[in-house]
Amino acid sequence: MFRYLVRRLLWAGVLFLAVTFVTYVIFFLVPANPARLAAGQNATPEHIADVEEFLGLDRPFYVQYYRFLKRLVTEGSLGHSFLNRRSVNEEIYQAAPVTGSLVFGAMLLVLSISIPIGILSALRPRSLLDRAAMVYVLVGISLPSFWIALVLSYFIGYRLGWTPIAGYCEVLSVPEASTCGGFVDWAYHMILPWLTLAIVVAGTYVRFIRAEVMETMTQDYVRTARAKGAPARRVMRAHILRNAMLPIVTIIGLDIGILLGGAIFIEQVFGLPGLGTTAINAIGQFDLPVLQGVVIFGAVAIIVFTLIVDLLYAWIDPRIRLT
Amino acid sequence: MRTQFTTDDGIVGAVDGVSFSVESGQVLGIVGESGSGKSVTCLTIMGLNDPRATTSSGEVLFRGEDLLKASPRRLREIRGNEIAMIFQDPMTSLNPVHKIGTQLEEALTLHENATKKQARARALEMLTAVGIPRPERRIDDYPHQFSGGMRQRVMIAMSLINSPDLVIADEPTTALDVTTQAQILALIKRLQEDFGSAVIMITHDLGVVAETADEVVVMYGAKIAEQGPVDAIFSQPRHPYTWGLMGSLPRLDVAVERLEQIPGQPPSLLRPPSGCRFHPRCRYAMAKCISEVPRLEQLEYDPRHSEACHLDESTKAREAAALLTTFSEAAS
Amino acid sequence: MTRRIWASVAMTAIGASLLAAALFAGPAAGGPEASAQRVGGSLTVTSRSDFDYVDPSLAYFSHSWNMMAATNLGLMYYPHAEGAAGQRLTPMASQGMPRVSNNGRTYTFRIKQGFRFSNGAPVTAANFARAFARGLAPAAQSPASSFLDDVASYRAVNARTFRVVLERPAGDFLSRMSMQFFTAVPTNTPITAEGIKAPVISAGPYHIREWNEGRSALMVRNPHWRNNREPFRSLGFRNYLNEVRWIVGADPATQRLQCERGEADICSFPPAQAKELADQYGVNRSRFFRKQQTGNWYLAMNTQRPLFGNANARKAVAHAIDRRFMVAQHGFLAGQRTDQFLPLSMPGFKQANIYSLKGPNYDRARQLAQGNTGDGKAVFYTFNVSQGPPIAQSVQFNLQRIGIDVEIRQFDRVVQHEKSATRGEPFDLTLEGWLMDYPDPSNFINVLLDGRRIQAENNVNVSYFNNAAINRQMDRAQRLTGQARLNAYGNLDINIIRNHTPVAPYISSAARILTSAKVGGFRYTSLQGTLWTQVFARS
Repeated sequence: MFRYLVRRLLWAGVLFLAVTFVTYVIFFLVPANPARLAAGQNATPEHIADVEEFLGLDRPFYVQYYRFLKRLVTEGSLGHSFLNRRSVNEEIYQAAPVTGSLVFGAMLLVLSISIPIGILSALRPRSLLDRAAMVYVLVGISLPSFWIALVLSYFIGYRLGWTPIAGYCEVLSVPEASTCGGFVDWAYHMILPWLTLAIVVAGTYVRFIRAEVMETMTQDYVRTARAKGAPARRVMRAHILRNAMLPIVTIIGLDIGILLGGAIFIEQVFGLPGLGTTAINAIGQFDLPVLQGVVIFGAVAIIVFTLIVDLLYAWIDPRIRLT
Repeated sequence: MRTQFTTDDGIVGAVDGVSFSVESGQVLGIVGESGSGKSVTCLTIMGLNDPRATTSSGEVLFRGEDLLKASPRRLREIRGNEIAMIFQDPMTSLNPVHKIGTQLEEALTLHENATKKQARARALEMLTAVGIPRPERRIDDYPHQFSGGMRQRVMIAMSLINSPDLVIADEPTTALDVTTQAQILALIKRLQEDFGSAVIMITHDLGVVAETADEVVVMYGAKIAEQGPVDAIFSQPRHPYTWGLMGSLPRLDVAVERLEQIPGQPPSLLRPPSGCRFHPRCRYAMAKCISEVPRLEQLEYDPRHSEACHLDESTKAREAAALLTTFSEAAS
Repeated sequence: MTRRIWASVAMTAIGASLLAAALFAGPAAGGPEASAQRVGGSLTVTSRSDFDYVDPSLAYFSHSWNMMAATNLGLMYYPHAEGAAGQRLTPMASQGMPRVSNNGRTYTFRIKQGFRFSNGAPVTAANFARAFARGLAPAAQSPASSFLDDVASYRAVNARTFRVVLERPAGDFLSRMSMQFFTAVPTNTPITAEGIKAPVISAGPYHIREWNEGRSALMVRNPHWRNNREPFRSLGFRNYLNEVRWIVGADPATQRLQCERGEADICSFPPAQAKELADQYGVNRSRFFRKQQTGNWYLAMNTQRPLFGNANARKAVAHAIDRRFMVAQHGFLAGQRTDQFLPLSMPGFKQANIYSLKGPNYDRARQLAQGNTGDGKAVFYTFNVSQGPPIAQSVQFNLQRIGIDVEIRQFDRVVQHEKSATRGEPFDLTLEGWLMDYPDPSNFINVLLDGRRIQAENNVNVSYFNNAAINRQMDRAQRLTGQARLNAYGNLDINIIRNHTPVAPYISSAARILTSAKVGGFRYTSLQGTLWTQVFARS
C-alpha cells in the first residue's frame, strides 16, 4: 500500500510538471506581451521594460518556468497576477470554494436523481418510465449547458421569480458589501446552478446505472441469492446494488475532479465567482499566473480525486489489489 | 411440465412436456446437450425464471404441493431451505464482494432465527463437512481467494446448510478439472447419504451419471428422449440419441481413433423441427419421424424404462447390442 | 489607453458596463423626479469586471475611476453634471485656479481648508505630494508615471500650498490634475506593487469600506463630509445615497434580467438587446439611457507602407467607406456617424462636412484613387468578435469598387492591438477605437497622431503618421489655454482630416445603460460614468 501511494505520488508529480509546462508553452506561443498590457498604452519603451523586469518577463521562457517551479516548491506560491498583482494563491482560495459548492451540491442532486431513475429503468426496461428516462438522457447530453442555464434563469428566475436570477452568497463571515448571506441565501442562490449542472451530468449517470444494474441482474450470484430464498429487497440491496454501484464511485470521482476545474458556462450565466470565471477573465487579460494557477488547481484536483477514487475502490471491492 | 419463454424473436419452448419424479434418498440424473432444457426444468421447479417472460404449465409436486401455483412467499420459504440448488459455475455463482462466511450465514439466517455466533458456528461446521481445510481462517476470505474446486465446495456447503430435502445440482462439475470433479462427485454422494436428501444431478456427461445416479432422464430438444434406472439405460439404451451419447464417450480402457460425433446441431427451440426433434440428426430417420412426434412409451419388458422413438423394438435392440459389442470388442 | 479600449471593446463586444464621461446632447434625463427625492437608500451595481485596484495610484479601469469620482478629492475636477457644465475644468481642493508662473512652467495651488479624510484627518498639501510620490515610485510601477513625464519637481511648500514645476509648458497639465492618480491620499499610505486595499481612507464625499476582490465592494458616506457648508457645498454634490454596492456579476444577458427584476439597479446587457429595451422603456425616459461618450472608432491607414503613403489614396478610402453601414454594426443607438477625428462631445470640436456621412462617394473616391493605389492590394487587421469582422468586410466591399483588393486578417483583440502597435508590421488598415482620459482634445490628437512618439513597439499612433508641419501645430496648440486652445485644436482636427487623412473615423460612440425602477435622477457623464453624487434611490 505504501509503495503504491509513493508510486502514485511520483506519477502525480510527473503529470503536474507536464501540465504546467504545456500551459507555459502555449502561453508563450501567443503573440501578446502581458507587460505591455500591464504598462498601459501610453507607456514608453523604458517603462515597458521596467514592467517586464518587474514581472520577470524579460528572461527567456525556460528561466521563467524554472523560477515559477522554484517559487512553487520553496514558497508554495503561485505568483502574482499580472493584472492586479494579487497573490494567485489568494485568488484560488477565494474562488475554489464557490466552484466546490457548485460541484458537490450538483453531484448530490445528480446522484439522488439518477440512482432511483437508473434502477427503476433497469428493473422495468422498455416501460414508459424507461423510455422517458432515455429521452431525458438524450436531451440532457445534447443540450449545451449554457443554454440550459439561460433558459432556467429566464423562466424560473426571471419570469416566475421562484429563485434569484444570479449571484453568489457567502455562508460564513458574510461581508457587508454583499446583498445576501448565510446558509439559506446561499442554498437559495445555488438552486438553479445545481439544477443546471445536474441536468447536464445526470443523463450520463442514468444511462450508466441502468446498464450496470441490468448487467448485474443477470449475474449468476444474483440467481444464487434468489435460490437461497432471499426476498427481492434483499437481493436488490445486498447483491445487485452492492455490486452495480461500485464502478459509479470511479466516475463520480473523476467527474468531480474534472468539474472542480471550473464549470465555466454555468458560473458565467449565474455570476458565480468560481474558478471558471477566474480562468475566463485571466485568459481574456493574458494574465498568465492566474491562468496557470487555475490550471494547476484543476490538474491537482483531478489527480487527487483519481487517487481517492482508486483507494476507495480498492477498499470497497475486495477483488482489487493495489500494486 | 411445460415452460415457455417469450422473447423478441418469438416463443421459445424450453421445456415441452417433461415428466419425472424423484424419491427421497434417490439421485436422479438428467442428461442432455446444452439447450436441451435440462437446466430450465430445474429453474422452473425452483421458480427462478424471469416471471415477466416465462409461462409454465403443468404441475410440480413437492410433497403434494404444486410449486407452480405456490405464492412467491411460499417459494421463498422453500428455496434454500427445503429445496436447494448448486449451480454450474462456482466462479460466478458467489458474490465477489461478500465474504464466503457472510454468504453462508445468509443462507442460514434467511430461514432461521440464529444469532451471529450461532450462524457462524454452523457455517464453520458446514465448511468442515465439505472438506475446506482450516475453515476458521478461510471463513473470512472472499470468493476470489478460493480455487474453483474449493468454491464449489462452498456452494455445496451453502446448499446443505439447511438440510434440504431436495438438492438440485446443475452441472456441478462441468467447470472443474477432472481430478476435482471426482472429488466433488464423491463429496456430493457422501453428503447425500449422510443428510438423506434427494438429488437431481444435471449433467451432459454420461460418466457422471453412471457414477452417481440411480435414475436417468435423457433430454433432447426440450423433451424426454429416454428415461429409466441407470443400469437399464446403460445396458439397454433404446434411443438413437442415447446411442450417440454413449458412442461419443471417451474411454480409458479402449483405444479409439476418433470419438464418434453426433452430426448436426441442437435444434432451435424457437422453431423446432417437426415430428421427432432428433430426426435431422438421426441416421435411422424415417418418413414417420418427420411427421409424427414420437410418444414416450414404457418398454414392454421393463415398465420402469421408457423411450420416445418410432423405430421398432427389434431394430433398437439390435443397434443397442451392436453398440455395446463395439465397446467390448474394442476392450479386448 | 489600452485598458480602457479593451474595456470599451469588451462592452460593445460583451456589454460590460463601461462608464466614461460624455456630453449628453438631448432632453433631460432621469425620469419623473417629482416623486420623492429622498436622502438615504442604497443602490446595487452589477458589472462583468471588478475594479482593478482601489488604490488611486494604480487604478486604471474606467470602472474604478467611476467609483473614485465619488470617493476621491483632487486638486481639480470636472463637475458632476451633464452637458457643458460637466466639461469645464474646475478647482476642487484648490482654492481657485492655481497661480501659473515661470512662463507657464510653475503651478502653485492653494489648498482649501475644511476637507477631511474619512478617518477625520485634515487634507493638506502634503497629501497631494504623497500622491505624486506614489505615482512616480518605481516600486509601484504606476501608470501615473507616464502622466508625470514632464514634471521636473513638486513640493508641499506648507500645509496649504502645493507647487509643481514642469519641464516645459503643457496646456493639458491642469486636465491631468483631474485624474484619479493625483487625488489626496494620507501621507502614510504605503507604496507597494499590490496597492492598498479596503477600507480606503479617502477625502471625497464617500469612501470604500469594503472590497472583496473579484466579488463585491461597498461604498459608504465619508462621515466628515458636510454638504451644507463650504468648502463642500460649492462642489455641487447632492450625496443622496447612503451606500452603493458593486457586485461582480454574471454575463450580460443575466444582468439584464436582474435589473428588470430589481435584483440589481444598474446593469449591462447584451448589445443586441438594445433595440428591444429601447422599445420597452423608451430612450432616456425611465430606465434605458443613451449617453454620448467622448470616444470614437476609426480606420487607421498605415502611412509608412507604399499604398497609404500616398495621401490621395487615403482620401479615396475616406470617401469610399460606408459610414452608415459601419455604424449600424455597432448596434442600436451605439453612436453617431462622423467623419472627423475629435468626438462630437469633445470640447473644441468644430463641425465640418468633409466626407459623406450618407454612404460611399465612389465617384470622388475613384478620382482620387486613380493611379495612386500602387499594386492595389491592402491588408486589413481586425479583431474577431462583435463588429470587427463585419466592418472589415464592409470596407473590403467598398474598396474593391475603387480598385483596392483588401485581404482581411482577424485576430484576438489583444493580439491585433499588439501587432498593429509594432512598427514595421505588414498591415495597411486596422480598426481602432479611442476613449478620452479627460476632456481635452490633445488627448486624441497629440497622443494618437504625433509622429515623434513613434517607437519600435507599443505605439498608439498606428497610422504611423508623422508630418512635421502638423507636429508643430500640435505643439503650438498644446501650449495654449482656454478658448484659444479649443479653437486651435478644432481647426487642427479639420486640417488633418481634410488634407492628410491618416485615419478615417466613422462613429462617435455612445453608451447605453439599463437601470432598475429604483434608480432616480439618473445622471451620467462620459468622463465619470454614473454620477453617484447625484442619483437617488426611490423607495
